[in-house]
Amino acid sequence: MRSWTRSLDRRRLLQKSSLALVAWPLMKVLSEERALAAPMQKRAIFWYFPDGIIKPLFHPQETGSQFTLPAMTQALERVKSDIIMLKGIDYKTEGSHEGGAAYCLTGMPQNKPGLSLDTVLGQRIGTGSPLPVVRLGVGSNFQRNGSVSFYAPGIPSVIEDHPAQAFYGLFGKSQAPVDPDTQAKIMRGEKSLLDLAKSQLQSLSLDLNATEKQKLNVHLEALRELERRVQASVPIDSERLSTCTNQVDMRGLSFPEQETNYPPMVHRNELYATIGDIMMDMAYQVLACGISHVLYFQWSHPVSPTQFDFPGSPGIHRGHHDISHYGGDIKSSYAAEFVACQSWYMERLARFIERLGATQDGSRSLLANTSLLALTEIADANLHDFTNAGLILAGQAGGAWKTGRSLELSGTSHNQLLVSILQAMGQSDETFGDPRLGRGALPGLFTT
Amino acid sequence: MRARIFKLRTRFGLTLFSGLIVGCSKPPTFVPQPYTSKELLSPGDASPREGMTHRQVLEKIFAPQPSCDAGRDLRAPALIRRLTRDEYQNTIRDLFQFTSDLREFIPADEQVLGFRNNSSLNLVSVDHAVAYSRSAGRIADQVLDKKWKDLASCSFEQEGRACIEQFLRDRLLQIWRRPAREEEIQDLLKLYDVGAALSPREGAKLLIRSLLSAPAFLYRTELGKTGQLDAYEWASALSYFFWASTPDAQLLARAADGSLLQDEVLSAEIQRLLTDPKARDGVKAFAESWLAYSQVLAVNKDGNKFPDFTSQIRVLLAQETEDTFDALVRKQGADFKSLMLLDTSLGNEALATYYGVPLEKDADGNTLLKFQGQGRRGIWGQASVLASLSYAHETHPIKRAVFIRQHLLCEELVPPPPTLNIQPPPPREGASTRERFAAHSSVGACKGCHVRIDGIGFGIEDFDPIGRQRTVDNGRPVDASGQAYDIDQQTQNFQGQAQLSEILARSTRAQRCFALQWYRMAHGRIEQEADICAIRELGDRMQSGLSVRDLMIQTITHPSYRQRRF
Repeated sequence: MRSWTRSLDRRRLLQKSSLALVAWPLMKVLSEERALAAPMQKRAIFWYFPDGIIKPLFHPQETGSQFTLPAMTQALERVKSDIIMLKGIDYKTEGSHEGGAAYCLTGMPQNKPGLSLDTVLGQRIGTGSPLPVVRLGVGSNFQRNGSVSFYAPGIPSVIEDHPAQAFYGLFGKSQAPVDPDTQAKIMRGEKSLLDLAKSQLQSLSLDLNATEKQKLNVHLEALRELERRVQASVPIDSERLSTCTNQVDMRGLSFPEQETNYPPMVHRNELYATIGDIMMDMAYQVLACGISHVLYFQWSHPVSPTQFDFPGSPGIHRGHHDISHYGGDIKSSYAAEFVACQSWYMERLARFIERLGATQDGSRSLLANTSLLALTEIADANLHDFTNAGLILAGQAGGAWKTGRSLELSGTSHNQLLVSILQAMGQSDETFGDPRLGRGALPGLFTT
Repeated sequence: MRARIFKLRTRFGLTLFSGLIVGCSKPPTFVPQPYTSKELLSPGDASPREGMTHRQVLEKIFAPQPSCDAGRDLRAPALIRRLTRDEYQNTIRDLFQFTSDLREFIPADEQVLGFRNNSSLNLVSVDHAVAYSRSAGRIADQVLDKKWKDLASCSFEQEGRACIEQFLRDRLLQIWRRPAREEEIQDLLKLYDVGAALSPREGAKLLIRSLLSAPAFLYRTELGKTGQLDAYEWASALSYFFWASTPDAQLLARAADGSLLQDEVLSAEIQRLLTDPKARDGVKAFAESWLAYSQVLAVNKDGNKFPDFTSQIRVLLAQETEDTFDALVRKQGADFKSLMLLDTSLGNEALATYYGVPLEKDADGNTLLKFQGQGRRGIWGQASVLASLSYAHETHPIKRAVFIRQHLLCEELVPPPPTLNIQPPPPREGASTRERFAAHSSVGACKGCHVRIDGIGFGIEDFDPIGRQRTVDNGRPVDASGQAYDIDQQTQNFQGQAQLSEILARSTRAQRCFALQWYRMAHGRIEQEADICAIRELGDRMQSGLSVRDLMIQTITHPSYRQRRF
């Protein structure tokens, strides 16, 4: 049986000719000559971690630039100057894990259909890159309970959990360089294929009522995006940042091309941390290589089944969601276990922030041009409430705001945070999601 | 594409309740906020009737007094349905005799009320389009390398376009499940020409990729332009319902000559479809949605506490439910009552040891697990279901009861409101699961909802987190006294899982619900106001002991399926 190689890079993919043949033409685009993207490209990152927080152990007590990170966020101490701890923001929704998940990036309450902010930013600022938005996950499809990212109103996005397939989709390359004439013929074939599919859709569409037409419109949009990718004139900017290597260390893992076991290797609990590291590398390369300016990263999923006894974990033999129900007493040993789990996530977040901070991007760091929002779908893990949610901003969003602060925002709506990120990314929107749930940016966030 | 294009949905299912309350400390300020039909799925209906909530639709379906007059418009909306991931896999398997599993490359389908074939959610996003394209490229390579001579008697390398044209004229009907129009064939030949500029093989590959990315392949169209599904739509509907796969040559031939629209031919074809081994896939698609038993493969269990719950046992447990349900439906003509009163199942030595029950051979040579000595009844009493509905280290009475209310009684429950201060019970040494949960749900604010839940969940405490019978929980004797609150306007006390299953076997609501579940499966959507009368009619037939097999047939051949509002 063939298997994915230990360390994937483009050259090695080249040797895998049978794989290469099935590659999407996008890969050709990725391999073409590159032009420098506009300087000061802003990036948006959404970083989801599951199952809520314990508020007093997550939020600092103090406000302003002098603050102490409590146990659950202690791991962020070393990137303290690059984050903003957001206290007191409320999720204006209901419906437990699922309602919170459906709201926290769409701003739409009670499972009402909406687009998530990663999708919208992909449409607004992502079109200059090979991929408008990249969505990566670690075990995010395992038992999939509730979704955070939505590509169409009410319809969850696909999130890639498989390191080898993700790599192949992002960095792979379909074939060895060919002469311009052959290249033109290949492109014409791809274009004709898409044109025919579009005309078939349009012809079927004539027979449909309005609701059914909308389904095909989604499909048409998808084909237009593929067409854009085939024709994209802004190919991958892989030499822009010296840290862009187009390589991801697979850490000794070899993924079977055909899974015969259950659960499949990508969802094996003991590999959670390892695959997490691989996917974080992948996410970093996506940004460093300019493959996308919008990244959605999802750890597990709401009501997470991850057993926290994998290598490198706190060694708790229960599922994450079970652990998250710590019983309400923040001094109990159960609370301490949940703190250990969420701290594990915060440690990964700190590493990712550090790495962005250490990457030069023009005259600043990659982090300085980025708005990273870390979020989870409910507030208190035990109560499933929605007040004073666990939210952290990292990066300076190109100078939009100053970091190294703890901000008191008591009673403000999370919708305003979503608006703030839109505005930091150069958009002029005053509302996002349900407009009744908050207008304008968060007070005191932006540098005036 | 902007917001508000879809009138979608609240997602239902057990997940909604994974955090359902088990204790409260604030006064009740909870007014349930029903979802309006606008937020529910209203596929294919250009003008969904405003105001009728899903809850109201359910109320009408289950109301004791009928509200349907004869001559009511039963027609279903015209619909396009994207193949589910399994349907896609099966279709490729049957078209090209493929053995490899492509599902890993196709995004998973979303679930609505347990069903993965909801046509409002199953769309083609960019990620799907990329996945289909990759998959089609993979298939095209294999077809050209290994299968071409089975599909065509000519060589495209030598004869080029003429061979491709012959292939299309011979094979396109099967791939697209309908005849292609002449201009469609010409368009495809032009596409071949574009690819053939590189080589005949590149042309053929481009063509096959195109066939498998076409809407005619990816969607089942159920338009019924004449007011009724046409013969090809009908053939396709039947095969995807009974086989979860594409129609075979014989079924397409019956569509081509129109005979499929005659009752006798139809009836013979349906019997053939149901007898074919492929019907296992159709029946399984329903069972997985209805019983959610395949969660047993993935659900967390504390390995220290339950060393017997190995990955091999998980697979065997899922297999047990799949085999048993299939045999009951397709071979034994079981009705709903016998599904609920079942006290045997198909298993092997390893399962007999796991369950601690005897194994017997029946007349046909099947090995049966005999549960008569245990208080275990019904298909939902199998360990695959009960273990799926449990925590890693203890049972989950709430989850189990919500499953019964939603999946077996078709009730709509709402999650606890945010205004309610809920405090799930902290783990405590020396207390049974029941004692811990009960202490928190007897409080006023929670009682309103939990009266429907707790009495049922506690009554199944005679089965442990891995679905084995037990008498002791955490050192305390198990108390499996339960109360089935408000089922068919009655509240009955019971003792243990078996007695609850007996109550369900007798329940009018449970029988109607079962018909409704099949209706959802067949139609690939959630019921709306216009479906009420059809579902009532099918549900009423359940009372007279209609077999599941006949229920399937009557659901798919009912005017509410075949007739369409185009």
